[in-house]
Amino acid sequence: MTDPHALSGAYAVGALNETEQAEFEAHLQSCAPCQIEVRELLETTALLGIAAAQPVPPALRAAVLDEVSRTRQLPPVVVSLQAHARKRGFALRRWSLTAAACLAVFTIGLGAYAGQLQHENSNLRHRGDQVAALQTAADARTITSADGGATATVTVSRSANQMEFLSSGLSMHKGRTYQLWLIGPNGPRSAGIFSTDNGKHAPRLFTGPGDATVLAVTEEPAGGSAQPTTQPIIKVPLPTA
Amino acid sequence: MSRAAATLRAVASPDPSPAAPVVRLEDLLEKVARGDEAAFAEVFTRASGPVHGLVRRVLRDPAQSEEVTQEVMLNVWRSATRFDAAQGSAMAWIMTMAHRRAVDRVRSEQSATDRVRRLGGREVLPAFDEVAETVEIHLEREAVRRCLTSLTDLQRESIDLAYYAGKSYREVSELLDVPLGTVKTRMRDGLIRLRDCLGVTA
Repeated sequence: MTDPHALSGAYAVGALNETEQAEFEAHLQSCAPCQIEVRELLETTALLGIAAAQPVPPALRAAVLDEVSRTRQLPPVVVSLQAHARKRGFALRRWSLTAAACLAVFTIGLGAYAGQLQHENSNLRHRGDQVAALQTAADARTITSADGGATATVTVSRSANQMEFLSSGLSMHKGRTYQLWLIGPNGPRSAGIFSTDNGKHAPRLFTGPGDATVLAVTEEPAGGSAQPTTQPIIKVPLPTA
Repeated sequence: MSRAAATLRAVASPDPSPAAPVVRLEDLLEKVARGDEAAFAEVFTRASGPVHGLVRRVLRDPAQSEEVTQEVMLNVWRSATRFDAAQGSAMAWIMTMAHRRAVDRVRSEQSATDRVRRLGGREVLPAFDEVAETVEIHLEREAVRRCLTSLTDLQRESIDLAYYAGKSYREVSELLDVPLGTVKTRMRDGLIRLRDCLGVTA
C-alpha cells in the first residue's frame, strides 16, 4: 500500500474493503494526527448522513423497543483493559493486589473451594480472550434473526475463527435442552448444548465457526444428540467473509 | 462550540422549547449502557430518523432499509456499553455504525446479484417535501447542500458515490473513469473542505 495517510477520506466515507479498512485501522493506532483527522472526517460524514434523515415507520419503533426489552447488552469492551491499565495503572495494580490477597485467604481457609475458584477464574479469562478476539477482529459481523418469538444474535469473525451466540425467548418452559449446530459442507456438527432459565436468556456461547455457513438451534433430549433430531427453531445464515 | 457541533446537539434534542433542559446524546447513551430502556427510547427518537434516512439512501429498497435500521438501532442498545466519548460524538458513532451496516448489505447484495446501479438520474439529497423534517434537520440539510456545492465536481461525485451509494473507491474510480490515487485524494480533499465549511471540530 502507498501512503496510508492518504486513505483517511476513503476510510471516512466507507470506501475501503475489509482488508484495507483493517490495515488502515492498524495504522491509526500509531498515528495520532491521523486519529484526529479521521475523527473530524467521521463527524463530517455523520452530518452528511443526518442531512438524509427520514422518519421511521411507527411499527419499526415499536418492534425495536420490544426487542430491546428481550435483548442482552454486550459487556463493556475487554480489549480496552490494556489501554485502561495504562491510563489507570495504579488503580488496577492495587485492585489486582486486593484480588490476589482475597484469593490467598480463600486458599488458606477453603482449600477445595480455591481449586474451583481458580478453575472458574481461568474459564473467565479464557472467555475474556474469546470476547477480545471477536471484538478486535475487523471482520466481526453481527446478525440478528427472529423467528416465532425466539431471537438469536450471532457475532462472527472468520479471521479470528470466533463466534458468539446469544438467544432469548426460546421457551417458557424450564429445563429444556437446546443444541446448537454449525452446518457446513460436511453437514451439521454440534457446537454445544444449553438450557434456558425460565425462558429468559440463554447463556452466551462461544465457539469457532470453522467452515460452517449456517447456525441452527434444535430442541433435543437431555444430554443432546449426535445429529439433530427435530426441526430447527432458529436458523441463522452466517456471513462468509 | 462550533456550528456543526451545535447542530449535532440540536439534532440530538428535537424539543423546540429553549427552556427544556438539553440532555446530551452522549449522556443518554451512558444511561443506555446501564440498561436504561427509557433512555434508549429517547435515543431512538433522536437517532432513528438520521439512521433510517442514510440506510435508505444507500440501500434504496424500503423493506431492506427497515430491516437494517432495526439491526442498527438494536446494536446501539447492545453495544452502548462500548461507546467511548473520547473517540467522537454519539451521533458520529451511531451514523458510522449505520453506514457500515448498510454498505455491508449493499456489497453482499451486489456480489450476489452482480447488480450494477447506474449513475444517471440520481439526486444528491431527497427533495424537501419528501420528509417531515425538524427545523434542525432542515438547517443541516441546507448547510450540507450549500457546502457540497463548494466542492469540485470530482470531489462531490466521489463522496456522493461512496457515502450515499455505498461504492468502494475502486468502483468510484471505474464509474468516474479516474485513477485510484486521484479518487482517494479527492475524497480526502473534499471531506476536508466539507469539514471546514460545516465548521466541524473533533
